[in-house]
Amino acid sequence: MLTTSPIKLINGFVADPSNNTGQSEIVQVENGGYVDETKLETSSGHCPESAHQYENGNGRCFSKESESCSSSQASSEGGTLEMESELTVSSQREEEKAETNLKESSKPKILLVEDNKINIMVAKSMMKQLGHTMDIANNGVEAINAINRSSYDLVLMDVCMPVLDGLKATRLIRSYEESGNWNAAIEAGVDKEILENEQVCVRSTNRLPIIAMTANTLAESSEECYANGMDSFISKPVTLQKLRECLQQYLH
Amino acid sequence: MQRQVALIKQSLFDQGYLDEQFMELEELQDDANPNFVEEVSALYFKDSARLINNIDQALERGSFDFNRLDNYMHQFKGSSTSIGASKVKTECTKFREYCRAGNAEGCLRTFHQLKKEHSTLRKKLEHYFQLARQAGPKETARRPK
Repeated sequence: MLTTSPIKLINGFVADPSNNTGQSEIVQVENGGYVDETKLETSSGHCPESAHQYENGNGRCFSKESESCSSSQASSEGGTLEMESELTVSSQREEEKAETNLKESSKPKILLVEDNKINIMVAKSMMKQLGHTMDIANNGVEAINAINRSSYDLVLMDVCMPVLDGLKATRLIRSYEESGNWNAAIEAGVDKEILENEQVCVRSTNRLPIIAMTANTLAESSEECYANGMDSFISKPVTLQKLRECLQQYLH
Repeated sequence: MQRQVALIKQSLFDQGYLDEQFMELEELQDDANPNFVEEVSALYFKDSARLINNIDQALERGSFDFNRLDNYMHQFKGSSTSIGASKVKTECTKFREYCRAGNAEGCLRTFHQLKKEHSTLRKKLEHYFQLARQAGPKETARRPK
């Protein structure tokens, strides 16, 4: 039986980093998985690629807690002994870990929802230039699954996409924000099981900034975007300056 | 040699093959990504070849599913816009207008022109990138690290 006090992740921030009890800090996520923080440090520090691709909405998330979660859940049965051996960590190391965790946590999580490969490549490169990495979703359903799984600080949403377009997806996300549930999304056909099994630990109470990337046609007009719950829009083609202004306005 | 490269690039802009979006891509090139524009370009031509093939097949079948054609062209236009392929983009727009008008003849004509522009751009860019590589990194890498 573990005697450590679990730390809850809220909006990706470690709630109580200063747990200097000489014990290994375990991060608990709502789905019951326990994560050893040393694993957290490794996975977030060693992520080679800036983004993880979602495939069919079941891809791996760039969220450190869920990545470590899936690996530790698999070993949790036989993992007790392993965790106990971590209990004699020095307090200085814990502070360093907490600091790294905070630093990693304070990096904004951005989700790009786009189906066009060329657009993805260009946007990623521009974001990298601006010092950011992004997760990628290829349609509205993948976006919803991603948002359900992780707390994002900003979403760049292409309007025209297969499966579920950006306008509809945004409407469903706003419904989730207002109601606290994904009923509307499930009604619209998003996979219920995925939504229910992989929920983020604590839903952020802040409104998620969703920025439309629009080709500025009649169907994708700014009015349409606002009407469907988008906060702003970037008209294509996406440029460095447009992204920079967007980040300045919506990321704090 | 570098002057030659610069002149070729300038002519691509002057003749309307490329627009300012291409310059946006060049801004993203640096020592860490010295061939970014060429890489994006390669992806574009690979992806658009696929789209052209799809459209070709759809048109060959004789059944004009304008909706489907328009969807393909939406993708094509999107990519073309993102890399600054100006003339190709123009043809995409025309094609979509014919789709919306249900004008099969117009679609066919425009598609023929589009393929021409696409092929021309491909050759010109291939030539440009080849020369740029030969000329050395100074011409392509804009940002010192």
